[in-house]
This record gives sequence, structure tokens and C-alpha cells, in this order.
Amino acid sequence: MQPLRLGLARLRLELPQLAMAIAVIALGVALAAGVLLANRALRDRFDESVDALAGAADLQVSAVSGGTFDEATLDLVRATSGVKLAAPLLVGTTFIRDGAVLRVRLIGVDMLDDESIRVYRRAQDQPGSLQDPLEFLNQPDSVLAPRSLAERVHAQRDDRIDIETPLGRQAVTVRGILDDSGVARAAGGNLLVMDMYGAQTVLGVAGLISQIDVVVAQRAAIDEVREALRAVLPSHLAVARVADRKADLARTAAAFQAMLNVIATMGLVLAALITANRLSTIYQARLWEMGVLRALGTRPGTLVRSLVAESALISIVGVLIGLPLGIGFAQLVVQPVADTMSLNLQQVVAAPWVAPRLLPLLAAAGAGILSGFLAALIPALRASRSSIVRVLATGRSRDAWPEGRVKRSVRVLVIASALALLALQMLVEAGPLAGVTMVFVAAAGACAVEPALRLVSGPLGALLGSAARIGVEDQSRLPSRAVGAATVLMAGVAIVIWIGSMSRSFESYVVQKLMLDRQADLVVDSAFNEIQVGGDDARLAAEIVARLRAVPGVREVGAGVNAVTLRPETGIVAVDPVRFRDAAFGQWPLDDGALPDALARVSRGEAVLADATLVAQRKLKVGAPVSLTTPSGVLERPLAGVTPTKFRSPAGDVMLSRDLYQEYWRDGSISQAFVVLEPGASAAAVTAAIQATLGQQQRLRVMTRAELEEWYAGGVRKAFSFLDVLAVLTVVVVVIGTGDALAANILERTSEIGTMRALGLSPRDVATQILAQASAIALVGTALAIGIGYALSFVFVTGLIPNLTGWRLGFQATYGVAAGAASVGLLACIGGALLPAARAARMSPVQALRYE
Amino acid sequence: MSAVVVLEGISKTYGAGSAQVTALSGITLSVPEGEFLSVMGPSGCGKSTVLNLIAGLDDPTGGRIVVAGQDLARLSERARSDLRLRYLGFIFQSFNLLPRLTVERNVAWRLERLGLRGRAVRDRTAAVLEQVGVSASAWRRYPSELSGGEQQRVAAARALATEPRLLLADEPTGNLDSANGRMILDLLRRLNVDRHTSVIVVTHDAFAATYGHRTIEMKDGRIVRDIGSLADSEPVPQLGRVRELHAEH
Repeated sequence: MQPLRLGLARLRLELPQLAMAIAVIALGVALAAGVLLANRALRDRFDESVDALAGAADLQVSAVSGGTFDEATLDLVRATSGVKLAAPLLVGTTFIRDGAVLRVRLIGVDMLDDESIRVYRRAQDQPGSLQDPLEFLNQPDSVLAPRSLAERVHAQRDDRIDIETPLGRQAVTVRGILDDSGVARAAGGNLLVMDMYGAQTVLGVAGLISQIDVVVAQRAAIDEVREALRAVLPSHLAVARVADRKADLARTAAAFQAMLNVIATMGLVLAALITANRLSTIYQARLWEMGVLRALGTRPGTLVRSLVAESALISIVGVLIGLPLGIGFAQLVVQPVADTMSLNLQQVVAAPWVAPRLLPLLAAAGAGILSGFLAALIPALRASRSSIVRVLATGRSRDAWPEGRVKRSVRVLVIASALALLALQMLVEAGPLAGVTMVFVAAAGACAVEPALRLVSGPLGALLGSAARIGVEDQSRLPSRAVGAATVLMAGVAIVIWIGSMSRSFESYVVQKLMLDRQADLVVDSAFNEIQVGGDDARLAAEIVARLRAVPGVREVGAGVNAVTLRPETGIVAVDPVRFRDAAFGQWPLDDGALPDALARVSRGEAVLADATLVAQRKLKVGAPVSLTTPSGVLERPLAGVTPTKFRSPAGDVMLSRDLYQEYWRDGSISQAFVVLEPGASAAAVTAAIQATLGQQQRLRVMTRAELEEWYAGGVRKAFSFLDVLAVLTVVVVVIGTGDALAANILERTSEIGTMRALGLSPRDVATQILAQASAIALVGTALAIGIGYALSFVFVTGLIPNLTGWRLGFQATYGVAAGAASVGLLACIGGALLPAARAARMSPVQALRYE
Repeated sequence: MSAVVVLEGISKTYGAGSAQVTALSGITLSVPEGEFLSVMGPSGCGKSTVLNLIAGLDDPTGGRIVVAGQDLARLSERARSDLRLRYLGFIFQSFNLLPRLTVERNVAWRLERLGLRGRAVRDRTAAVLEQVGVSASAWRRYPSELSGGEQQRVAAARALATEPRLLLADEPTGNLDSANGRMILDLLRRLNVDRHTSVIVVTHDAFAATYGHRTIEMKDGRIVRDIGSLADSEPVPQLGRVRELHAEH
């Protein structure tokens, strides 16, 4: 207990000095707790949504190509041996505008079907939800709304609400309110339940369903029933265990959430680094006192225990402050995280209110205490092991820090290895090699900091004047603290440059490639694409194409529809033949070796195009057949040519004629309609005309080519929006890290500063020295960060992304991000030095000379 | 002969109320140009405080200080720094060399602050290091690689490099053995004689005090005795043994 009592006494005495350590731990814990809580809440909501839609089912039948299939399939399923219950389900996307725009799932359930009721019992077993079931069934516009959605859109029983569907705006009537359980939990509660017929009517898919949920007679025989179903069902239908599907989704979500956890861990590691630096400074100030204690018989172990106990108290205080902050932080980050997750998972993830949960909070608290403990351990061991004689004789001052031969050799080896691996990476595209290269590049950056500090000290001293020269020379001879600060700066700025450069590479590449075949004057799509995050795009009915052609000023219209088919996963980009023929709609550049008249063949539906990603992944050859699973069976067409990556699916995309798509997918809806204007027609006038006529029926968005380009770019930027959080985090960390490193340096040099003042340096000269030291740290940190950031980005984009996602992006150096991040880093570093510099300048020379 | 330092009725107190401590009281002193003054007294008598006040590192509570003809109270912090750089040299008991600069750089930085550059700095640094007897082989070393005597010689070289009019030495032999202590004192005397630099040495070592033209003795913040050089003056009872020691040397 004695160490704890001593620690408590110290905490009271040195609270101002320890406040920074407490604040940093609190911030680290808040970040970790916030991310863990938001992650947990979203994950639960995600699982809940999958569970809710699956009901009590064991197996799920769905279209391999996504979308819908014939409801007659239900009879086949029910007739299969081992199937106890089979319930059809139709899932569509609609939108409700009530102030804000809500994306709402429309679920069609067969209310007259006893088996459906038994499968989705949880949704129906709610007394009082329906006052008059017959009225519900008799009126095809009847919907059930979860209580949370009803409250959100201010709807009560018998109220009518407008929903936007691919067929346009339609009114439905709320005939019942569902408690937020069972099916009502799907899509985060953003759903409406209709009778199957009503849903098919509203969505314009008469006779079609999205899935059949199957309950088997004997649980042990699930696999046998699955095989039996596979045998009787057509090949375009997939039969999957619900548990497997959940596991697949969970795996996808887990990979993304692991990335967020890494960010939280990084926050804690940075907090530990800064705390270690702060504690090291505080212990350095107590070195003489510890020397006296050791001279008087205190054992090193006792000192270490006392210091660690003190750090435990600091950590506990930090954790107590950090946890409530984390709960608040979770509410702030849950929406951006949900958006990013939706984009990455192609699944709509609702952002719930984040309830405090014990396990994530305990994990964050434990990590905070552990980081405080680790932060204290090394400085405590170092302080307790200092030579008593030396400490008592020389006080806190430290001599020059010569570099040993072993250290130098390791340094050279790591840097040389990183350069060699980088060179190799330019020649070979290999995922594992890219991973190793990234580790070596990061390590090489850390190894280069110290020599770089020595390297810049001379020129920087000469540039900034004699007072500054003393500071940078001095720092270069004892760079431990400067190395820490420069490494933190380098790591922070490099990460921002890395992610920023990757984001811009992605953005620039995506926009450049996507816009090649989107050169029409205007593009028309659903206004709900504006708010859409993740999932399928909002569709329009194909009739709109003909109506667009009739608008004055329009020369030609070419539509397109995007989809994804499975087994194997393939992105589908189906476009009207006119877009292959008319150059006004854009270009379809093909790699060498394409078939003669390739585009004409594709426009006639005789062949398809594939993008570079699909060709690389499936090792396709021009002229060889490409097989696609469709709702109408397997579609096989020869490959006519290879286009740049289209980004519909990470597995690669196929481009085909929309006529072919309509025939095989039995889907007349479109994703976008591209409009070419008559010569001299005004884009603004045509836009107004479209909105005035077609816009009356459904909400349309009409964009110019430039606006479309910006929308694509915005989508990519949104996916990387956490970069902003990282940038802010970096600035905070750099300000604290630099300030602390310099404060520690000043503490060690107090007596030397007194000497220099006695020998003629002015307060301004002293401040100049400190700022020069910060400049050296800033210069080295940012210069290395730019190199490391670009190297990481290059390796990631050309090595890891192709291996992880299959997308082959060209690396694009983005100078704006680098310049911005470097400037922010430089300013943060200099900003962090201002306070220590001012303090050092104000230091009384007499007291400084006495300081030992 | 004009005075390089004039102290008129200097007092210095620390703290306030019942915790107030009087460090100096009614100190009046004039140091003519070219004088070698020893300030003696036991620990805590206020010797170092006098030195700090003369250097402008601290402000008196009362009285007036004039150094090199300039009233310190009228000088800004920057002007005082400039005065210390141009007119004063300082030697400390613990040498106070900058531990992470080489011997050469420890001396050269003050010259650079004076505006000298390149060869002029190198030549002047070499000359002054040679003058105090630091061999060229030690110039690239760090202070921790030198003996105490060598370090104090480097500190002396640093003080002398700017050719100060007044050299302040605070217990310059306090951390040295007798041989090195004498060497430093000889150096100070030679400087005083050859260059006519005024020297004020604060010491509690009676032998060191014998090097001065004049010695003042302090006790409890006051000057209790102001006598000519101990070596030349009439025997003072408590210093009799010191004179004998001096004779032995």
C-alpha cells in the first residue's frame, strides 16, 4: 500500500505536471471506448437485421444474380423432401421524404400463407398490431410500420405516407404498428411490411420474389435438404444455410471493423507514447531526488514500484475521465462509421443510439490502464537504474549520445532492405511482398530519423543564425527526445499522406475511368442516389427513357443499369446499344487484341466486354466465352475486348447490351439515363424541362457531366472520410508530442540555459534555440513522412489492393495532400514548441544556474 | 582610474513577510578598471548574489549598480544580455560547459554571437584554447571526456574568447585539486596583468583570495572587511596561516 500512498501524494503535489498525462490517457481511452462501442452497436444492429429477415429459417433460397425470381419456385421448394416450412419474401428499396430522406426497405410477406406466419412468427405475434386483418388484406396499399419508423415520420395508424419506388411516388396507408422486434428489427427498423401482392404491385415486380426462407423438418438434416433443393432448383438460384450467410456477412463486417479497431489501438499506442514521454520528463526532473533516495538505501525495485503505482493512479484517473467521453464520442462517430461501413460492405447499416456496454468499456479501460503501465515502466526502470554517483554529481544534465557500431549497422541494413524491397515491388506485384515492404518502409523511416536530425543540424543552424545553431547542434547530439517527437510527427503525417494519396489515387482513377463512357451532356437518375450510402442504387422505370427522348432539346438518350451476379461474383454494367455506337455518349477504349468490330458485336448482344480486373482474376482470353449466372439460366457470350476497371464489383465487371440484360434478368429498370443534347440546346433549359415534366411523377436528379464527375469523386471521398478524423488526431498528437519532447529537453538543459544566459544569450536567443529545435524536428519529421507516406501508398495501391480487392489502380502521387499534411504537421510542430520556448525564455537565469 | 563596477547601497531580499530573507544589505563597492578583487566569506554570506547582480542576472531590491558605465536598472533584458556578451566573462565552479558541444564549439559559439564568422572564429578559438593550455587533440572532444582541470581551462577560454573587460569567477577552484586550482588562478592573474582585465573572484578559499589586489570579506550579506591584497597586507590574525601557505607555494 505504501507505493500507492506515495503515488497519491505525488499526484496531489504534481497534478499540473501530471495533468497532461492524465488528459492524454483520457483521450486515448475515449477514442478506444467510442470506436469499440460504436463498432459493437453497429455490429449488433447488423446481426439483428440479418436475424430478423431470416426469421426462424434454416436455409435461404435466393437469386445468384441478386434481385428477384419467379414465385412459382415456392411450389418446388415446398415439394422437396425434408422441407417443413417455406415462406416467400420480397425485399425492395423505397424512400420516404419527411424533412430528411429515409431509405426504407419494403418487405413483402404472404399474410395469407400459414407457413409464412409460422416462419416469421416473431413479427406477427404482436397482439393489437393489426386492428382489422381483413381490411389490411383487402386494401393493397396497407403497410405495417415499426414503432420507431412511425414516430420518426410522425405517422399513426390509418395515416397515409408517400413512398418513392422505381415506379414513382405512391401512397400507402399505415394499418398497424409493429413493436421494434422480430422482422421490425431488420434494416435498423427502417422498413415497411406489406402483404406480398401489395409489395409486388408497389415495386412493379408482379409474380416475383426475392427469397424463400426454409425451415427443415429435422435440424440434423439441413445439409441433405440443401442438396435436395439444389438438385431441383434451377442453377440461377442459390441455396445457403442461414448460419453460413450470417457468418459470411459477419466475416466481411469483421474485417472492416478490425480496421476501425486498429485505428482505436493506434490512438492508445500514441497515448502511451506521449504518456511515456511525459512521465519520462517528470521522472527526469526527480532524478536527483531519486539519486538521494537510493544513496540513503532505497532499493531500485522499490522506486520502480512506487513510480508504477503512481502511473496506475494516473491511468485510473484518465480512464475515469475517458470512459464518459468515449460514450459521448461513440454517439458522434456512429453515423460516419455506419456510412463508411455501408459503403464498404454494400449493405445498409443503420446508425443506432449507442448504449454503454460493459465489455467494450472494460476493454477500453483495461487498454488505458495497460498503456499507462507500459508508459511508466520504461522511464521508471531507466530512472531507477541511473548511477547514483553520476546523478548526484551531474544532476539532470545528459552527455552526448554517441552512436554504436551495431546500432549504425542495423540502421543501414533496415534502410537498405526497405529500398531494395521497394525496387522489387516495382517489378513484382505480390501481396505478401507488399506487406513485408510496408513494414520495412515504416521501420526504415524510424531508423532514418536520428541520422536525419544530425544531417539537418548543420545547414539549419547556418540558416537560422548562431543562437539557433547551438540548439540544433545540441539536439542532434542527444536526440532521444527529438527522435520521439519527429517519429510521432513522421508517423502521423505519413499516415495522412498514405491514406490521402490512396484516396486521391482511387478518386482520380475511378473518376477518370468511370467518366470515359459517361460523356453525355446530362445524366438523369433517382434523386435518392444523393443520400444513398451502400446497397443497390435507386432505380428508375425504363419508360423514362422514351419520355426523356420527347423533351425538347434532347437528341438521344442511352440508359444503363448496374447489378451484381454471383457464382462467381461479377459486376454487371448493362448499357443501351446506342451508347456503344454513338461517340457522344463516351468512349469504350479497349486493350490491344480486341475482336474486330467488338463494340458492334456487344451492342447487338453477340458478345460482351470484361474489365481488366475480371480478366486478371478469371484469366479470361479475348474470343473465349464468358459465363454469367442469370435469373433465366446461364448466359454465355464470347469476350470481345477488355476495358479499364469499372468498379462495380471487386471481382471484376462485365459490360453487355441492356437488351440482353433485360432478356436474361427480366429487369426493365434502369440506374441512369444519359442524355445527349441537340446542338445549341441549353443544358439548364433541358434540365428544367425534365424536372417540370418527369419530375412530377418521381424525384429525379439531373446532373451535368461535371456534376456527375464530382458526385463520383464525392463518393470516394466519403469512403475515406475517416481521414479527416485521422488528420485532426495527428495534429493533436503532434502538438502534444512536440511540446512535451521540447519541454523535457528544456528541463534537462535548464542549467545550460542559465549558463548561456549568463554568458550573453538573450531570452529571445533562448526562444530561438527552442524553435530551431522544433524546426529541425518538423523538417525531419515531415520530409521523411512525405517519402514514407508515398512509399506506403505506392506499395499499398500497386501491391496490396490488387491482392485484397482485385482492383488494379494506377498509383497517383497527390501533391496537394502531401503539401497540406506536411504544412499542418510543420505548423503543429512549431505550434507545440511555442509554449516551451516562451517558458524557457522567461526562465530566471539565476534559478536556472542553481537548477541541479 | 575609472571604475568598471560600482555598487551603491545594494540590498537584496527574497520572500515576503515573516518568510523574508535578507541576502544583501547596504553593499557599497567600487571596482577600478584592472583590479583583481577577491570576495571571500562563508557559504550563504551573499558572495554569489553580488556576482549575479553585477552580471545583471538578478535585480537588487534596493540600490544602484553601474557596470562598464551603464546603470543596469536602465537596461532592458536584451541590453543586459548584450552587455554580458561583449563586456563580461563568467567562470563557474562546476565549469558549466555545454555537455553536448565539443570543446571547440563551447568556445566558438560566443564569438559567433558577436558576429564573427568562419576563419575568424576558428583562428580566435584556436588562439584562446592554446593560450589556456588546452591541447589541439582535445578540441574535438566533448566535456565529459576531459578532466576537471581541462574543463575549467576550456571554461576560461570560453570566458576569455570575447576579450571581456570584466571577468567574473564564482568559486573557480571549488571543484579542482590544488594543482589545477593554482593553474586557473595563475591564468586569471596573468590575464589581469597582461590584458588589464578586471577580475572579480568569489571564493571561500583563503588561498585563492590571496591572488587579488584587494579582498573584501562578507558575512550575513554585508561587507565586514575591505583590505588590500592579502599577500601584501599586514597580518590578519585569522589569515596568518594563509599567508604562510602562499609563501610555501
